[in-house]
Amino acid sequence: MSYFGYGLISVGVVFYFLGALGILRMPDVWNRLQAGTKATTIGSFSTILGVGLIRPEWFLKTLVLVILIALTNPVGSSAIARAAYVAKTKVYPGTTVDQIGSLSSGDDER
Amino acid sequence: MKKLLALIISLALFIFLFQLVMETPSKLLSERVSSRYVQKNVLSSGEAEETSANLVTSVVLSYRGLDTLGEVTVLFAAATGVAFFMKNVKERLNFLFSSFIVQTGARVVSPLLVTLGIYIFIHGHLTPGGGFQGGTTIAITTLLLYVAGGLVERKRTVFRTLEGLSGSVYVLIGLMGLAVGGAFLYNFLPLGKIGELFSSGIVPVIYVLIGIKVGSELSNLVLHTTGGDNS
Amino acid sequence: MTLLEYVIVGVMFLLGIMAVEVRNLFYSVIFLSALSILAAFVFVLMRAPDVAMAEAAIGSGLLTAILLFTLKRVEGGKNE
Repeated sequence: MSYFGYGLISVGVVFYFLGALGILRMPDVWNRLQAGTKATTIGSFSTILGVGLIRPEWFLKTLVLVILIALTNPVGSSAIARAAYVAKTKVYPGTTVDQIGSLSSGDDER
Repeated sequence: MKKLLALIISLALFIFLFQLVMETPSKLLSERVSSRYVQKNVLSSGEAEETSANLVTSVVLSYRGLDTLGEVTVLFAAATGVAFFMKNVKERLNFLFSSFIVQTGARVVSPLLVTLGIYIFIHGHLTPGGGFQGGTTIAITTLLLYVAGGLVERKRTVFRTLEGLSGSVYVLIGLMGLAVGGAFLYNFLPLGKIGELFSSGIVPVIYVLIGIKVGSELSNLVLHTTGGDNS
Repeated sequence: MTLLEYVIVGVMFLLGIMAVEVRNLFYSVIFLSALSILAAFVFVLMRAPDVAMAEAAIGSGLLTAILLFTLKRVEGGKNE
């Protein structure tokens, strides 16, 4: 059980590293955002669950933390991406599809 | 005439402050501060810090209960100042990035956040946290609901009523302590056993009151800062 | 103090200087928010969870939002 926990923490650290690499190497805001968010979401999941497996008395608390991160992290990333779109941030030249622009021409659709 | 009046008032204030300054520190320090100001002694048994699992709480609310009342009053003054200055601002701040995803997320997360805030201030005497922290969490929920696209009802009267009510009950409990035990905010309820929810006398009651007061006050402040209407 | 605390306090020092020195007030508010989060972390390391909760909730949550609202109200302080 404890070795499985340490393995999960190692997986999380690898994901964190990939996320940091993506933030450094990706060309524009949205690419960096998806690299960072995906990596930190999965990295946090496995790190926190690994801690919960090493200390079984904390497992329920870590489960609650994982659920909270699953609820908030993608929503925050979506809000940041939308804010960057509304603020007309510079787009990477290789981008071919602009779905929001073709749907509602830039203004907000709520 | 007006200048003469101002001169007299400032002179009286000067004499008052001068006397306070001239009170020698040795006279102040010859007895314990706690026994001098709140009539609670650290050494005497049966006081609140023996039953409160979180010692910080009993320092903040038992020995320094009057100071906490002062802090809450300062917060109230700040919120009133913001409300005064934002009274005539008509335009609302709008947030373009509030989409369907953000609104749904805010709707899902906000009950959890309110529950967390209430937990923090109800268990203030058992676990870290307390009225200020829990109240701030509730205010952050209001902020989240606002930023997610105006989901919060813009009725400030509820917040105002809660705030005034909890502040008055705080003072009332202090006066009851004065009537029962001879000191303002004297801990007159049964102390109970350490680690239980209903223990350490009036400390959890006051923390619940402070939590409600700070939460409604800061929510009011956030809604006033965003402006819009002046209801 | 451990090495971790030294590193965090050093970063906090740099963030504080940058929050004062940077020209754009928006960046200044963001630096202040980051400073608050690190301060909360240091409070946890120093076994003061009460203060850490207050710092994290007020300093990096509510205060940042209110300062940003105020900045938007005064149009970024451009016409001063």
